[in-house]
Amino acid sequence: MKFGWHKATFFILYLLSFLLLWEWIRPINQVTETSYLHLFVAFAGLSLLFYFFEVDWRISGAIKILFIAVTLQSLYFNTSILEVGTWLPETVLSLWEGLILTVQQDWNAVSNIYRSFLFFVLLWLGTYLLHYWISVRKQLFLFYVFTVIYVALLDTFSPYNGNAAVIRIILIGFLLMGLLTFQRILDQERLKQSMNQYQKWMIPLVAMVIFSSAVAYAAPKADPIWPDPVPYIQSFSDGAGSGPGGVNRLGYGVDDTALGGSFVGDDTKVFDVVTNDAQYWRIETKDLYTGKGWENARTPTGEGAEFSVGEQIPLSLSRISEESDSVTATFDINLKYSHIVYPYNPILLEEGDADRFVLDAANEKITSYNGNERAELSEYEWTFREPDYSLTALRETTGLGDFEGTGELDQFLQLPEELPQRVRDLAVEITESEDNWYDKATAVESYFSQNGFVYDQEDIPVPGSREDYVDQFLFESQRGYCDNFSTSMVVLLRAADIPARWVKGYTEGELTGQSDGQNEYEVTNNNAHSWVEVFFPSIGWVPFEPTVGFTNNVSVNYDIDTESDTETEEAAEEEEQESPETPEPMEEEDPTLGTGSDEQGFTFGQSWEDIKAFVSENKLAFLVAGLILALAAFVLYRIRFRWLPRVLILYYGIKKDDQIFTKAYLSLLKQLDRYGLKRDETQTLSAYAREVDRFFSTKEMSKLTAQYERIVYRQDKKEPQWRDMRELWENLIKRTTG
Amino acid sequence: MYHQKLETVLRNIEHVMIGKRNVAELSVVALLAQGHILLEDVPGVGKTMMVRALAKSVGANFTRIQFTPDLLPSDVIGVSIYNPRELEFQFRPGPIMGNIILADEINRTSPKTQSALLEGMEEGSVTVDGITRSLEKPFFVMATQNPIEYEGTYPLPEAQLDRFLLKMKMGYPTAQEEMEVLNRIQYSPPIDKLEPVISLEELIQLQREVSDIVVDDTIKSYIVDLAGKTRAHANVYLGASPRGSIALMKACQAYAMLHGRDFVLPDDVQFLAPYIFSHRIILKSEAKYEGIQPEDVIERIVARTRVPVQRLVK
Repeated sequence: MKFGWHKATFFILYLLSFLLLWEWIRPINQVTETSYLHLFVAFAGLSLLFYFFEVDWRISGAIKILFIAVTLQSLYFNTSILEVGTWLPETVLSLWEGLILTVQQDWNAVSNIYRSFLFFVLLWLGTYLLHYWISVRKQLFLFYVFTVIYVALLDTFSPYNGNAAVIRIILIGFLLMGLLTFQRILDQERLKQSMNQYQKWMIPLVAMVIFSSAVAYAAPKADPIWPDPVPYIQSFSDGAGSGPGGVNRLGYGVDDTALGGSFVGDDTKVFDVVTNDAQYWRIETKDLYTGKGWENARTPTGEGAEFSVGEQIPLSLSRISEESDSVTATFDINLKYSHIVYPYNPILLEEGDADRFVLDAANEKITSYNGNERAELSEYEWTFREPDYSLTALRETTGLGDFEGTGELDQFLQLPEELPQRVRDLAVEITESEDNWYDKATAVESYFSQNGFVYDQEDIPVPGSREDYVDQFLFESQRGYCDNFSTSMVVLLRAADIPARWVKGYTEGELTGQSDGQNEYEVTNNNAHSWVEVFFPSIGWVPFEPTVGFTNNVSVNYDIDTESDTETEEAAEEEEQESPETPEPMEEEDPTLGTGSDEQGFTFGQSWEDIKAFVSENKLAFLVAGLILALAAFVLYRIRFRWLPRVLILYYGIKKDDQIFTKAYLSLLKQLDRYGLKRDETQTLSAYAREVDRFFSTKEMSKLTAQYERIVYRQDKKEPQWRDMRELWENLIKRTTG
Repeated sequence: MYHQKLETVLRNIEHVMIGKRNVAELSVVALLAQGHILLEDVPGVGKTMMVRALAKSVGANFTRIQFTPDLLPSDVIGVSIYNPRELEFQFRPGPIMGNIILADEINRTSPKTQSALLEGMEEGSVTVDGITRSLEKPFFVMATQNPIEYEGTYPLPEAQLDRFLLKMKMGYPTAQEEMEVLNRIQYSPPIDKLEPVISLEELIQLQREVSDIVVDDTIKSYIVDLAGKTRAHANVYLGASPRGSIALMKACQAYAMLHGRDFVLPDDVQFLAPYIFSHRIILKSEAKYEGIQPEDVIERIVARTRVPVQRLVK
C-alpha cells in the first residue's frame, strides 16, 4: 500500500474521528460509573484502524470478536483465559439471557456482561458509521452536531463538566470537517492531490480554527440567558410547594447561600391571618453576606431563650412607646412548619399548642417544641404593639453612639473582602449628601425605584464564580426580586458604615374578607419575602423596604414639634407605592443611566449590556417575532418559485456585469428546476432546452441555450448582447410564475 | 443546420440510400476525420451502394476488394512485375491505391492479408519490394463484416479493430422505404446519375479544417469521463483505450463541422460515443451470455454520466 498524501490525510481523518468518538465514551465514566473504559476506547481505535487499513472483514471481524471475548473474560471471570470450557459457555448463556430479557423489555435485569457486550457492538457500529462517513460520504456534519448535543445535554443534566470537552470537540470537529470538505472538492473537481494544494488548504484551515477557537476562548462570555433548566424541570416534576422549604425559592426557603436565578410563582396558601394591623411577618434574620448569598455569623443551633404560651417573649426589636395600641393577630396555618411567624414588637403568644418555644439567638427564629420533638402548630395567636417609630429620634442618629468601639455590631457591618470597590463607591455616592442614618437609609431605599431598577422574577442571573451577587444586580442586570433589592440595600448600608441585616418572612398577604370585625388576609408562598432592618442605637431594629413595588406598613411618626402623637400614623412614609400583590415593573427608561459608574459615556461593553438587557426584557416579543419571521421565511422559501422570478427580472434588469448572460442563464436553469422542469444531470443542455420548449410550446429556450453553449463549449470570451437576449430570458422566466 | 457543402453530399447519398441519413452522416464524419469505417451487417442492405454513392459525390475513385480466404497481400497492395521490354520490374498498384475502398467481408481472408490492408490504413502508405509508396489522399476504407457466418472466418484481432474510427450497422429499411427503393431502381439505378458535388481538393481542405473545431476542456473532460467509465464498468473486460478517446474527439469535431458548428457540444459526444467505443471494448463472457451488447453498455454509461454545463474554473 502506497502511503502517499491521500493515505496520510485519511489517517489524520480517522485519527480525528477517533478523538471525536472518544468524547462520547469519556463522560460515561462519570455518568454511569462504568470502569474499564480504556478497553472500550482501545476497541474503538482498533476498529477504526482496521477500517483505515482496509483489512479484510473476515480477518478484522475475527480479531474484534476475539478482542471482545478476551475483554469480557478478563472483566467478568477470575479463571484463566485458557479454561475456555468454563467461561465461554457462561458468557454465551448470559448473552442469550440478556437477549431474552431485552426482548421482554426487562432492561434493568440484564447482566453487566451483556451490557458490556452491547456497548462493544455499539462501538463497532459507530466506528463503521464513521468509516462510512469519512471514506464514502466524506461528510461528518451530522455526527459532529450530535456530539455537541450529546455533550451539552450531559453537561446540563449530569455531573459531567463539558467545558473542556466542548473546546476539544470544536477544534477536532472543525479540522475534521475542513479536511473532509477538501477531500470532497478534490473528488468533485477530479484534482490530483499534491503537497502544494495541501499547504494552500491546510494552513488557512488550521490557522482559522486555531484563531477562532482562541478568540472564542478568550472572549468574554455572556451569562446564560436562560436559567439553569434543571431545577425548573425538577420543580415542575416535583409539584409546587409540596415540602417545607420549597425546592427552588418557591415560598419561604431556608438555604440562602446562593441567591439568584429565576423565581417560579407558587400560590399555595401558607396561612390565613386575622388582624387589624397587617404587616410584614418575620421568621428569621441573617447577617453574614458571602458575596453569593446569606449565612449566619453564628451558626443557628436551635438553642436560645425559651418561653411558653402566655409568657413575655424575650425579644425586643425596638423601643416602642407604651402608648401605642396593642393588637392581636390570629394565625390559621395551612402549610405547617416547626417555626412560627411573628410580628414586629411581639408581646405575648396567646395561643399555641406546644409546650415551649425557643428563640434562636443566632437568627431570631422561633421554633415550637412538644417535649423534645419539634411541633408543627396549626394555629396560634400573637399580641403585639403596632410598630411606630419617631422620625425625630430616627433622624437624631448619626453614629454608633454607645456601641462605638464595643464591636457588638461588627457582624452587622460585615462585608466580604472581595466586594467590588464600585459597590462601596456607589454607597458613598448615594449617602454622602445626607447627614443622618435615617436619611441615608431612605436614600438607599429609594435609590432603586429612582434609577429604573425593575422588579422581575424571570431570567434573573446567578452570579458567576468571580462575580458578586449585589454587584451584578446593581451594575449589570438591574432587574430582580426581593432578594436582590434587600441584599443590595443591606450591603450598601454596611458599605456606608450603617449596621443592617437581612430579614425573611412574609408580606401581609391578600385581604380576603372580614372576621369578627377584623381583616382576614391570606398569605401564600408568593408572599414569601425578604427585607432590610437597620439598627438605630437609640431605637433598635427598624424595617426598610427597598424592593420596587412593595410597601411595608410601617408608620414613622412625624413628631416634628412637640408631643408624641399617634394620630398621624396614616400619613406615614412618603414615597411608597402600590400594594405588594401587584408589583408593577417600572418601565425601563434607560436602566444604565444613573448607576453612577458609567460616566465615560458610550463604550462597547455598555452598549452590549444595553442590547442584552433589551433583548432579555423583551424575550417573549423577540421569540414571537422570531417565530413569525421564521415562519414567514419558510413560507417565502417554499413558494420562492413564484416570487423569485420577479426579483430576478429586476435584478438582471439593473445589473451591469460582463458575465451577466451566463449568470442569468444559470439562474433560469435553477428557476426551471424549482418550477418542476428538472434537468437530469446526464442530459445535455440542448436536449433539455428542446424539452422545455416543447413544454411551453416556444423556441426561446433553444435560442438561449445555443448562445450559452457558445460560451461554455466554444470558449467565447464575448457574451451575446444582453439587450437582445433579455426579452427571451424574461419571457421564459415569466412563464414559470404561472 | 448542416455545413452547406457537406449537406449536398448527404443529399446525394440519400438519393441512392433511402432513409439512411444516420449512416450517411457517420460515413461523412469518418471521411472528414480521416478515419475508417467497419460496417457490420448482412449482405444486400446496400453497403456497396452506400460507398459508391459517397465516392461519386466527392469525385473520388472507388475500388472494391472482395476478401476471400485465398487472397494474398499482393492482391491488395499491388505487385512488381518484370517487364521484359524495359528490362525492369514495374509496380502494378493493387486496389488499395484508391481513394475510397470497400473491403468486403474482411474477416474472410487470412490475417496476413488483413494486416496488409490494416497497415495501409494506419500508416497511409504501403511498402512493396522495399519501396514505400504513400497512398492517395483522401484515403478512406469501409470494411464490412458479416455477423452471422463465423465458420471459415478470421475474426479481426482487437488491436486491429481499434484502427477503425467507428463501427456501424446498416439495418433494414422500413417497408415504406423499401417500396421507395424499388420504385427508384425500376428503370435505371440512380447511382449512375449521381454527380460529384465536392472536389477532392475541397474535401482535403475540409479534412484539414476539422482539427480547428473547438473542443473545450469541459468536453474533453466529458470524453475522458466516459472512456474512464468503460474501463470501470462491471460488464466490461477491457475498456476503451486512450486511442478511443482520441477517436471520439476527432469524430466529434468532424460531426460538429458536418452540422455547421465550429465547436463541439456534449450532444455530439453522446451521439457518437456508442459508434466509437462499442468495438473498442470487450465484454466479460458472463455479459455476453446474458445477451448484453457493447452498444447497450456504452449507452448505459452515457445515461449515467454527468454532462458538464458550466465552464471549468481554473
